[in-house]
Amino acid sequence: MSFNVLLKKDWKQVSLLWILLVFLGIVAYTLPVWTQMQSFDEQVQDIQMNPDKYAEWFNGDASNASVEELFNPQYSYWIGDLQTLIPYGGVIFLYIIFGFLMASVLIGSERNSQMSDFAMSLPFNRNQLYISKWLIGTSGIVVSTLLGGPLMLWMIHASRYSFLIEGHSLKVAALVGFMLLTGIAVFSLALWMGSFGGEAISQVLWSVVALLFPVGILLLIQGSVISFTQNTERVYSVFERAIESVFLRVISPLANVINVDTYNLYTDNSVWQEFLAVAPLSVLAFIVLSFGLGLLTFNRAPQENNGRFFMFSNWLWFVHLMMVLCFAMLGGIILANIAYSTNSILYVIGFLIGGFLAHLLAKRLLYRFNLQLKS
Amino acid sequence: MLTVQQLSKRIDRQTVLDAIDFSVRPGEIIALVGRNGAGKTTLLRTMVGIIRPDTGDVRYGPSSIFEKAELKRDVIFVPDSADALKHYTVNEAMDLYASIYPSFDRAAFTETLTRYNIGNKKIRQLSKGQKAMVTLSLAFAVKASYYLLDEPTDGLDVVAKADVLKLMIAQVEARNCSIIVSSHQLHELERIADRIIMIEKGRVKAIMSLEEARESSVKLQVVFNDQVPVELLERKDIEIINVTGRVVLFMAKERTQELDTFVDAHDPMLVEEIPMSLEDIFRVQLGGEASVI
Repeated sequence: MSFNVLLKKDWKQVSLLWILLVFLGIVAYTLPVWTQMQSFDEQVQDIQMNPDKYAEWFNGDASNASVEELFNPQYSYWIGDLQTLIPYGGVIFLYIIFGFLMASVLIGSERNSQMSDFAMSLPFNRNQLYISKWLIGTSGIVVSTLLGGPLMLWMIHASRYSFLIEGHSLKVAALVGFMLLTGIAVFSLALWMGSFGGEAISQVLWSVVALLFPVGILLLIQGSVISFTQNTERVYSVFERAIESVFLRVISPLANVINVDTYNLYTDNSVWQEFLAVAPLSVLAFIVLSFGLGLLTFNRAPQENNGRFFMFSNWLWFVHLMMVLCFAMLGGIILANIAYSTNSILYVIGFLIGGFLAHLLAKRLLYRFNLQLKS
Repeated sequence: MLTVQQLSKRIDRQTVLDAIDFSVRPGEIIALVGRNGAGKTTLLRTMVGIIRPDTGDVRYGPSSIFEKAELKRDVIFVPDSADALKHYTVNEAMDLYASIYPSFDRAAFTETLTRYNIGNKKIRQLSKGQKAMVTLSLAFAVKASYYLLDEPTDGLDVVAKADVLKLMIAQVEARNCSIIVSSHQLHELERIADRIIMIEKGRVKAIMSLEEARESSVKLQVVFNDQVPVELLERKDIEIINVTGRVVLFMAKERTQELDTFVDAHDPMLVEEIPMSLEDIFRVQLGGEASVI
């Protein structure tokens, strides 16, 4: 009896998504590069055909300038740079969408059908079942990166804009590696959430919540504090430090992604050094953390609650409390900012309204809906 | 031997399994009977490790099935539908089983399919009876020692039911394997079961052979000289099935001397003991609602 059997079983479930991910991954890496180069071509052509129109930005010598010279940052006219060629946000967005989808098919959809019972009745322990799912999902992200990343690098190197990447190939490769790790991290997070959501849709919802929560709760607290204080600069600086902290980058792949300064990564050595020191290690730490916690909760998830909105009935009170708190703070912030200057009384009113509405929503979602969904 | 030891489980603050305790001997067929919601499916799912019990254990020989997953090569659970394999073709399902279970007998499986004229289609495209035959044949081709079947004949037509039962009996005869089968089709279980486990509200109400079950309760047809005495009709320990003129047909949960004396005291013209079916036993012991075709 081989572990490959489980991989085959999981492959059967997720193969279409996996192939789509690989295909779209290649597209996401290469299509933006191609369209960006088209845009460069059009701009360069326009400058070369109408040098007088651009004379003031190119100190009068645009007609004689080579393509490489037109991209020289000494000129005030900005056509683009290496950062505009690398589809950082697009690829990560694709990984988030497909990470969520694949994880929900691998665990949530199983819980929707009798496949989960079938898998649990096989002569494999739950660790093996979970590891197989993780390997299948991760392999899709790895393959799409291994095909798309090098193709993107080749496209840039083979183009007439190759000068943009000269001397920066290693940095771009490191960024591609970081995007790969982020994809795996998001997938690991979504797979972990498969132990909390009792079916596919709730698993996706919990994945969205888990992805946004660390940054979101900080922003909510920041907004709430600002509603009660005049010293906003100090508050902003404290929360900026918190969002940039290594701790938050370890517990939140989203914080890690938004903290990477892709604009200055290729030009500022200190940004590059900081990126190398923090970003890949933080996301690696998150992968280890979420994988370990995923194994733990998958082992403990009460199978009898399959089909429910939230699997761990004993923790419903905590989820309820967090929902009320978050929506209360959101309500407070929205109402406090209606006035020209932030108003603490309006915050309290908004807090109460938001909290009350969240309480009603939580009651319906966590208790009534939770039972209705039971398989 | 497969042993269920003090198995308990609470779901939503309700006790679903309460100190369930029994063992399954080699070569026997055990009928698991109980009303809807009694805990039969939960018990079967727990016995194969799908659900973790709050307390208690399921041991196969000296080892716990919850600690050694590889024991499940010899304990096969067949759920009440083939939903899990609906995206597989019959041959893909066979390959899957063959790669999971080294003891899987492809020849035996294909022979059963040929016998019942089931082609290599997607399982979701098969009829309900064919699905049942495929899932059972897959399970039996594993050549395991224990089978836990959850309502295997539910919703099948008469011919398909008979085929499923034949398949089960043939396996037990050929390999001395054990089958625990939960079903509401009591007249079928009656034909094949060696022992009955009655479950009521998560507890084992009784474990006995069919003969013991029949002896524990009694079904009487009594003809009185005059009208049927009201005292008899008002007794709480009997279930009146039918009253026609001076004739009354009733069942008593327990065969007692007091009941015999009571009947005799009303000077009956005729007292005839009617053989009890499993359905009768179910009704009198667990309060009815047997679904029998």
